[in-house]
Amino acid sequence: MKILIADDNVSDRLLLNKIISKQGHDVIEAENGKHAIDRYVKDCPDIILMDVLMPELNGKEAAKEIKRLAGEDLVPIIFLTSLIDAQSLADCLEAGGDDFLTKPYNHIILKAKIDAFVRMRKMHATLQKQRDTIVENNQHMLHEQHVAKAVFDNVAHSGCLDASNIKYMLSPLAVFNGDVLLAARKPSGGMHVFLGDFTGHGLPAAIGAMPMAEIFYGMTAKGFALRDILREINLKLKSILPIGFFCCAAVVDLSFTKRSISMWMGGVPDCYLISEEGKKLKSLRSHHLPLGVLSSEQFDDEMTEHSMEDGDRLFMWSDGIVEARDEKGEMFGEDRLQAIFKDNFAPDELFAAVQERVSVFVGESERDDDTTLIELMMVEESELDLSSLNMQQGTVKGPSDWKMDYELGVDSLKHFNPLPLLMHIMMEVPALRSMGGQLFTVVAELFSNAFEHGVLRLNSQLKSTPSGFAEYYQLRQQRLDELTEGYVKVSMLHSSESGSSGVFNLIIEDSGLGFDYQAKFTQDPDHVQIENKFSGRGIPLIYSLCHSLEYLGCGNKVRAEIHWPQKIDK
Amino acid sequence: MDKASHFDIEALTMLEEIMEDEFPELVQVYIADSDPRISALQQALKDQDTKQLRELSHSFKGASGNLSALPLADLCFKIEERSRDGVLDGSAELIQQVDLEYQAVKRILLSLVE
Repeated sequence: MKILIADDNVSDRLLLNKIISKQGHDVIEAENGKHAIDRYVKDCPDIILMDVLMPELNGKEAAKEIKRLAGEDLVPIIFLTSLIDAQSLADCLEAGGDDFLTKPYNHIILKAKIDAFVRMRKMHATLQKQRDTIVENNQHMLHEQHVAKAVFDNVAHSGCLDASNIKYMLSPLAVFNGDVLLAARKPSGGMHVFLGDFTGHGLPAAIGAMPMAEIFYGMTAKGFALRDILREINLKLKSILPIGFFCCAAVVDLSFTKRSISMWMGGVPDCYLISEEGKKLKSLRSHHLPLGVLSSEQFDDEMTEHSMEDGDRLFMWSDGIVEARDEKGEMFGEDRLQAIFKDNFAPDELFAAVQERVSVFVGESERDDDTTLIELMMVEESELDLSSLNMQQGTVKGPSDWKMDYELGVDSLKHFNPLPLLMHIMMEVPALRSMGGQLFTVVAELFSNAFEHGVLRLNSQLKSTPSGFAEYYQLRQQRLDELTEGYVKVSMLHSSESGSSGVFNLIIEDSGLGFDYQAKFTQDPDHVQIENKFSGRGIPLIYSLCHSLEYLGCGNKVRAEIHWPQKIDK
Repeated sequence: MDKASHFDIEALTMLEEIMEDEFPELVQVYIADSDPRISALQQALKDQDTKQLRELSHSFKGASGNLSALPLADLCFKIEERSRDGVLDGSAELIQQVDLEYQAVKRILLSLVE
């Protein structure tokens, strides 16, 4: 240790110097307060022994200045004094001294004090170093979190949450949110909406949310059914989340054309269906375990159907709403939430009313969970902004001139749904993406016709009565089980003229017997619509979507031609 | 020469042990510092400068105490106390006593290092 002795008395300095040097320390000297400050700045001593009364600048003043210069470093100052009255000694400490030593010096006490301050100084240095490390780590962590947050926001983007039939609120507790709100337009029309609440919040929750969002948006865009998406998400979460971590979720498949929703709820508070007039129609209760709990075999993807009229609203929330606490720690609770819907708010004001009530209730108290709220309204799909349907286009141009033949054998037909794959291939062509909905309908209808009426040889007329409908599906299962031979061939052909227009051909052939299409069928779509003899085959609809549709051979082969850009009068 | 009536003998012995070879230097420095103090004290009294009187006696007291010349330190302390309180009466006598005591201390110290 380097020790500074500041004393105007030469003999005192000599004596102290000798004592301290003998204890193994380096000694530097100053003969007055001013000199002491200079030596402190120049030599950075570890401990200072300072006489109180000195010429130029006395010890107390010098001590104050040195302590100021030292800032947060601990530089122990021991006052040397022959003053013995209590007040004088107290004044020494008041001036910033850490201890005092009375003259004449007792070298044993002096040694003990120096040793004690050496320990204290080391401890202080350790403490400072640790504090600096913590600050540094914390800054590093915050920086990482911001970068991660940017990545997270790109992956778990809000999709079409800005659609005109959606109102939502997400309040993050940390940089990352344990709540997830995702929404995507389906290529076949309609919308998937996902409200998730991970156990915990912050980074661990966000890590789970990323693959979930990827799956949700990826599979929705490729035309997968919500059940399949849920299964995939459940499987993913089950495999990546530690035991005890899971994701409560309310998931909606909204169909604008059927005026209904299909819902899956696991571990979330009741959702409310609200009528056009703002009255509560019913509470929808969660019947499933949260996502990421059960294995694929045990997972139940059953969804419940609810019809919704134009203007009906669905309210969903994370438990952060119900469990929001006021200053006294009381929860907002279901009753207060229910009460809002009995208060005769205009339907348009309900969302804001819930926000307002919860916010007023919580007041200044600390939020202890993420609070997420979403309102989903049934509207005409045409009212929605088309832009949210446009898929993001990469810089790489899609394929333009290509052909593909794809044949499915018995085993594949039994266990595999090829539609997502086919959609995926079509969606690689940028111009076809905006027509995803109608393409999906065409492929789905024609494939299902080929499979059910062709390969399985089911008669579509069965479906014209309710009892026949049931029989149809019973028969379908039976034939599927017994199926030993057959195929469906799908051919796709796309050509484009300088990227400004193109023709897409879809040919589907099955191993069935075909049918007498000429008797039932003329090339006049209007005529077909009036006749409407193709029960179950959905041909009139397909007609309206295609440039041309023709049956070939014995009727076991069909060719649909779709042109882009589409003619406006179509 | 009665060492015990001018010094704390035990402390003085310890001091000699601590200082080893440098004890003579310590004595020299002490004497070089202290000789002018006597006349300075007398001058301060003449000037009725209590502040100067106080600082000189304080410093002299400290240095003498550290050399275990306790009776001398006590005399210095008396002057320090009086000048702190602004009292000059009797200081002349005290300074004279300090002078006498210092001469005795000086003689003993010099005898130790020769």
